[in-house]
Amino acid sequence: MCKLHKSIYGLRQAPRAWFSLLTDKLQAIGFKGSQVDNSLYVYQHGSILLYFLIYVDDIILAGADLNFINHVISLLQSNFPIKNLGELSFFLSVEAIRSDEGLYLSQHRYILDLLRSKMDKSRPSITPMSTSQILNKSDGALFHDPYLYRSIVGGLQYLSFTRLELAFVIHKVSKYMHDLKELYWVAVKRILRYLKETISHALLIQPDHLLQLQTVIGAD
Amino acid sequence: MNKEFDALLRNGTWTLIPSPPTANIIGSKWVYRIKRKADGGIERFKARLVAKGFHQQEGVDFLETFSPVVKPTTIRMVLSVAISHGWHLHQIDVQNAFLHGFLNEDVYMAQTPGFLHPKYP
Repeated sequence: MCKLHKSIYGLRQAPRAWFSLLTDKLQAIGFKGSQVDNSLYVYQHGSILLYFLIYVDDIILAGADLNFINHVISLLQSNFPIKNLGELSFFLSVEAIRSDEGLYLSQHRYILDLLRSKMDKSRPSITPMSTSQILNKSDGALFHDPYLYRSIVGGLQYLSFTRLELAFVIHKVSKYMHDLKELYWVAVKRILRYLKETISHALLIQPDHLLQLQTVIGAD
Repeated sequence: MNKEFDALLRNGTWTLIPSPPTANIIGSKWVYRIKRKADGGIERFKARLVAKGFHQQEGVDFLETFSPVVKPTTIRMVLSVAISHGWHLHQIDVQNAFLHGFLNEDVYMAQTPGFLHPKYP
């Protein structure tokens, strides 16, 4: 029998053991955990500022000083094997493309995979939702493949990373996972048809020289 | 598969011991995946040894779990700050991340399927 000293995949505590090892190393280097997000670590000493974003084993470093970025990477490399992927280009299935205007974030490849399964012959649509069809009807035919529905809608939810305009419709079709009607599937297919039309749309992050916090208040 | 097993041995993941009579012993299995290239061709075959975490008992061989997942809002904000200041954006990837963590609990696992040492059943 084996007595385990180190973690392996599948153990309940594996993610936690990895995260605490990594953040111990970061703290030893001088990083501090952010108050707003557990996965963000910040190094700030003198004129050097470096952000360190952790998504399990995918990591983004953001800072002005390239030498310091490389220094931090080599310090970590003395502890565990790290592949230096260079300039940010593809992470969490999001493509990052630099241009003169700023940084484009695109889930083009992700959408392609999502569409590949079902929508080869469908007609593209320029809007993601019907304005006349009400979705909360309890009558109508049952949809025959709940597994497919949940899998596609689950896949759509991750699109809200860059496709902020889809938040509303994806919320709508996510409300009916338990009692599926043919009508809801039509609504999901409409979103997929819209994605087919707009597959090349990306989120543009532009430089803003006034990085100020602004509050917007709404009242009824 | 042999490569992955050797890597686990080199990593010092476990030591073989005689069975303690009262231990909660968890199983494991090999999970095989085909890594494909962008054009769909086969890049390599991958074998990963995975513990059957559902055999574990809270308070016995695990205490706390936590999965760090960064919020999309945080990512977009850091990218926005970086772009506004003209900073460098770099990405790195940790190989076999979960194999590096140390365990604070006593975890016992049955020997790896296909790699049995007869002295320590």
